Amino acid sequence: MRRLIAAAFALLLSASAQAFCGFYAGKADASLFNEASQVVIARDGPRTVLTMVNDYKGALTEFALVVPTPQVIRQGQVRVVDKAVVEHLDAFSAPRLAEYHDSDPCRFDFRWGERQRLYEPAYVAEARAAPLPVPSVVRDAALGVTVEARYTLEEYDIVSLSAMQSDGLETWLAENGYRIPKGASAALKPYINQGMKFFVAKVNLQNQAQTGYTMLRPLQFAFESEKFMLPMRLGMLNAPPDKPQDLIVYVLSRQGRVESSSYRTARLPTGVNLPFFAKPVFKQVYQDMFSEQARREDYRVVFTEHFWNMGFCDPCAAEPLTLQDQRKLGAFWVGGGDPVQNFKALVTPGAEAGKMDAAQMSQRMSWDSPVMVTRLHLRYTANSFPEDLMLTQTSDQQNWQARYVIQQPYDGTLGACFATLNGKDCEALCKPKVAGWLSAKGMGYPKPGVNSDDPLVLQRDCESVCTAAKQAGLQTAGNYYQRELPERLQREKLALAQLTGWSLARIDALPDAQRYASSSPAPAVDKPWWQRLFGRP
Amino acid sequence: MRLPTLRVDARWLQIGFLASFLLLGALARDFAIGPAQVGLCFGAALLTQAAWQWGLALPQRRQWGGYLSALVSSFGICILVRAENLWAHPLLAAVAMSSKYLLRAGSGEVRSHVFNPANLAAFAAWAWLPGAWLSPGQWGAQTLAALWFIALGLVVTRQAQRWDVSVVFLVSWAGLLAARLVWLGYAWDPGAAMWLQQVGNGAVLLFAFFMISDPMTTPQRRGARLAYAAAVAAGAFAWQYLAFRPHGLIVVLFAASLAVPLINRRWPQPRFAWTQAVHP
Repeated sequence: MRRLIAAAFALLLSASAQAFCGFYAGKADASLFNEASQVVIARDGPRTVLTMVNDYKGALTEFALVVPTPQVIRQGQVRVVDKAVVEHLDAFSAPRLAEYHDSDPCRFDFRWGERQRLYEPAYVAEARAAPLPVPSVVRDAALGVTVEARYTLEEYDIVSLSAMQSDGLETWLAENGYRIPKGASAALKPYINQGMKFFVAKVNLQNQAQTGYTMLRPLQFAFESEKFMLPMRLGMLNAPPDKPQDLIVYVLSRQGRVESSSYRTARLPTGVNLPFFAKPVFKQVYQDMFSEQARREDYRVVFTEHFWNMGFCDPCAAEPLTLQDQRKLGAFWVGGGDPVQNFKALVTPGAEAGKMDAAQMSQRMSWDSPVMVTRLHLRYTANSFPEDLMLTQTSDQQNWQARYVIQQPYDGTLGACFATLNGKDCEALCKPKVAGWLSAKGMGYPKPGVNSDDPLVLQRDCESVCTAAKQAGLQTAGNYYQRELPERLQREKLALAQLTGWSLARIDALPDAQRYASSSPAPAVDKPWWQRLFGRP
Repeated sequence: MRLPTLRVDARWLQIGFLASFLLLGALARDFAIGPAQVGLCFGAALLTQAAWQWGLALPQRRQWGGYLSALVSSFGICILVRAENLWAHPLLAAVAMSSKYLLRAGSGEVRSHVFNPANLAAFAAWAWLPGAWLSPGQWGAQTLAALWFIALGLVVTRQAQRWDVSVVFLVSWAGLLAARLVWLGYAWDPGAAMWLQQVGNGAVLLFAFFMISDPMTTPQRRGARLAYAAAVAAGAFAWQYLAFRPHGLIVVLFAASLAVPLINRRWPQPRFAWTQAVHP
């Protein structure tokens, strides 16, 4: 007998939105706290393409998915999608860590009688936050009243049901070997009364073996409906009322950002500088930060994690999706062809989509792609989200991302800096400069500090500038290692504590946290230490 | 019951309440509105008001009453409308204030502007302006108690004026939502919480107490006015829950405003004046 799992049921509800909601069976009661259902909605006007991701890892014979849909989903409206495309979308939109590197504070900025050079730009690298794990949903079985359609699609056996009464549906599901959670009938009733149908899928083991995939691939439906919502309530059926569940919704839209109209949509803190030693634990940082923010909002808020034009990214956690991949996720209005006809091909067996424009297809980056992706992350309980998730599209097109910054300290020490600078031989360095200046006679070169053509005077001037540059370099490095860096780290630690709710003691116990805490000895008290080093005032 | 009435222009109370709303939103609810947008919105509203008062050489051009209305409308626009640019708010404010002088209907004592300025601005933002939108979910569900208390306090202080419209509207709206949930077959749990979530939305309360209660743009005869409030609730319900379109309250009030001049002609009554003595 197939078993429904909480997560699966959750998806069930969520998929339904207008239509669908899926529920499938996943691991029972696996720790949902760290697992999230994922749904991709591509929508323009009432035309909607919904993709439900399932990372069900249990026995395939136990997998079942039940999704309320606005209309009967017939053959031709359903397809199986390559999961890698959704993973790519996840990667593209994931909260990200941007990493910058401090430049060497030990500078020997010595110029005498020569043109100035520009500093080289700092190297920038990014690391992507590992996406939160996707929850899986398991469901045992479903039963229906009228079988509107029955077909096999790749590795799935699919039935579309309509029901007049929820208890009838519950009975049908039970008689057909599905064990549905207690209370399912009451939860199904409002969907039946809204005229919704039910899409039920289970695994066709024979076909599944032939696909060669070890995982179940996402299912996708296309339908038209004015309702822009996800029936997430269904998925709360077998979760305790106060146990949080996660749902990540990606919306591909044409006009602008999507937000909830029934719940508050808030942005996560972004642009926060974190201590460098948080990089290896960034995934944990992000998870704990999300938990902390969700908890502070009492699990009543929909968080925006990302909103960006699909044409580009900055910094890129992953390259934008190709137009082919955007079409695979249902963005029927891109890539050429008449959008209406493209959509028709998604809902009619045998209909052909418009021809994809090869020139457009080969182009990946553009600043104004007609596809924008909104990534919403919900952590909710049955009590905190009493109604289904209603969505609305705004005309907001300002790109926004949850981005965190690591500024890597320069990997050096004050002692090494002193050794480097002390090794500079000013006399030797100045000789060619003086000779060069004398031969060019200042054509386009700045005048030295003395008004003289005497090589000895010039040499003396150059050496004093050189010594001053050494002092300045050492002073800068001293400031950096002994003041700026410890102070900055302190600020970053506080920011980390504020974001995640971690204690400072816990943060200080992280590997490497003490690296710059008590670095070089304090400078001499009476006069600046670099003056003593060089014996000059 | 007879409550003491204040002899101040009720718009001062409105301004205080709306300012607290905006502050609450900006400080505690991360409303996506910037100080520059707020400043430009208020500046444009006040300047437009001044331009019309002086341009038309109105007899009351030296009085402050018109500017109070401009402030009320500006607060409404800042609370309701979100934009990704700096020009949407001042443009909407200017259009809203101008509409009071350009879009007028009726004759004699019932002649008045047709649209509540904030309603017009919100509708225009949603329907016509690129880069502007409405965020009905922005309040969250937990401000419920506070908003109710403040709103009720306001109702008390304004009891001689248009509280009846607010109450009839809210009762109709809440009743329709409850009826829908019952008809769909929701059990008490989660039906009750769902109903509270829908009715307690800050956008609904704001609409009830600050938009549909506008004495200048609702029917002057009491019976007609109450029927009007119920009809707006029914229309918005149909728009939102039968046609599944967004922003039902704003859209339907905008459309219904067009019928107000006809209602006033059919059932005439001297028009309201903000500065008239308030009779308990």
